[in-house]
Order: sequence, then C-alpha cells, then structure tokens
Amino acid sequence: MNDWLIHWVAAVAMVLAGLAIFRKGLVGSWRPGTAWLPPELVGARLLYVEHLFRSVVSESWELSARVDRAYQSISGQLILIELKTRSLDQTFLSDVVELSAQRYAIETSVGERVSERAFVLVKSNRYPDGRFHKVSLMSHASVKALVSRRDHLLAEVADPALSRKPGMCRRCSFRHICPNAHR
Amino acid sequence: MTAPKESVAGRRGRVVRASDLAQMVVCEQAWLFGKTLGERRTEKQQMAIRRGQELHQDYFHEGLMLMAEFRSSWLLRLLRVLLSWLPLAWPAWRRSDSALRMFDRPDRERRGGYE
Repeated sequence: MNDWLIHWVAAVAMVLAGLAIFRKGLVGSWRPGTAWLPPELVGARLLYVEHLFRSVVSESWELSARVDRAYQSISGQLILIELKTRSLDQTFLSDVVELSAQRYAIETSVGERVSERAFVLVKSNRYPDGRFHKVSLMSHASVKALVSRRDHLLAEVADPALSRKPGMCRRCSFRHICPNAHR
Repeated sequence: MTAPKESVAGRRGRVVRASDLAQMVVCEQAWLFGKTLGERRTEKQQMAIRRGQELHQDYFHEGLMLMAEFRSSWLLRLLRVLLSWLPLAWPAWRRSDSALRMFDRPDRERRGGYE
C-alpha cells in the first residue's frame, strides 16, 4: 500500500473518531440527564421561582405563601417543590402544611390547578446534592381550619397543644416557662 | 367626585404566612410563646441556623463561582486556547508588518504616511 494512502486512512479515521467522541459528549462536561428526577418532573417546565402569592382566606385573614419552585407538568398541572437544608433526610408535617398553604394561595389567587402531590427536596448530610421526597398535600378546608385555629389560639379561645415529640420539648427555648412541657 | 378607594390592607386585615402555619403545627404552645413573648432560640438552635446559612452560602458560591456550564463551554475552551497562544502570538504580532503599521501610526502621520 502506498504511504500517502495510509496517511489518508489514518487522517479520516482520526476525524471520524473525533466526531464520534464529540457526539457522545465525552469531551464536553458530564451532564446527569433526568434519571435522578421523579417521573412527574421529567419534561416539566419551571414556572415560578421564589414567587410570592397572596389570597384571601376569610374577611379578616389573607394568606401569603412564597413558593420555592413550581413546575408545570406535561399534563398542565403545577407541581410544587420545597427546598430544605437540614441534617436529617426526612420530611415533617410542617413541610406538608407549608406546601398545602402554597397550593391554596396559588389556586385561589392565580386560578391554576396544582397537583395534590408535591416534593420536598432535602439537602442533608447524607445527601448533600439533595433528595426528593414525595408528599400528599392537605385539602383547602384543612388549610382554612388551620388559619381559624391560629385565630383562636391568638385570641386565647382555644388551648394550645404540645408537640408530640419529647425531643422537641428538650430543645425548646421556652421549656423553663412552659407549664406542660415533657419532663 | 369619585368614591375613595377601599384600602386593601384595611379590607383584608391581617396576613398569615405559610411558614407561620408550618411553625404552628410543630408545637402550638411554643409558637404561642413566641408570638406573645417574642421569639427566642437556644444556643444550639442559633448554631443550627448559622450552619444552615453557611450551607446556603456554600451552595450559592458553588453555583455562581464554579459555573460548570460555562467552564465546560466551547467558547471558554477557545478562549483558553487563544490565551495559551498569547505569549507566542503577541511578540510575533508586534513584529509583524500590520502591527508596525498600527504602532507607528503617530510617526507615520507626522511623516505624512508611508512612501
């Protein structure tokens, strides 16, 4: 075989290999893709970031909620995401209440349909990049009931309930004046 | 004469924050103490809050300073390559005819241009 032919074959092979590497993205940065996303969020569009919504709950109360992230799914429903940084990789009732209030505020102020399932993205010691937790949200009636409960507590019509977790009591700064603290 | 506009704040009254409701469900008693006596935090809670703020700062620092998308972009790579050529290219460019034409412009203008 002639020398010039070998050179040409090597050059073409190198060009083809370069193209293949480029198309595979081996040279470019590694992108994680969407495998780590919950299936509900795949293909969803980011609609609201740190957006404040306000809606009227009753004659005297207005509910304000700041939405961390709201994505619009392919079906058109909004999916709420709450971002949390905490040591433990778990969700609490307070997350559900916060997301439910956000859902109430969005649906009653903007009129968009919000999914009953939301996500809490917890960035913890174990998962520093964050991990999604799926939660079911409360109904609008429950949110309204919470607002009226708050009203009753402030008006001293109802007695305040204690935390169900004794550990919360131990860490509470009002423990020394609380008459009902877990001892 | 038009009627005065109804004050939104006066009509709607007070505002409840979603985060306030979330705090309420953790412990109503502690929440009520916080409302009536002012919020207090233990030393441990203050440390936890400070640590959380530091984590957020780290997160934003990573996002803003590292700029992974930009660092891996073709434009930046091209800029890097061009910058790596600069020590070689700059003296060569300065020695070139075009550079001479540019740098000796005042002289040229004084002399009335090239022959």
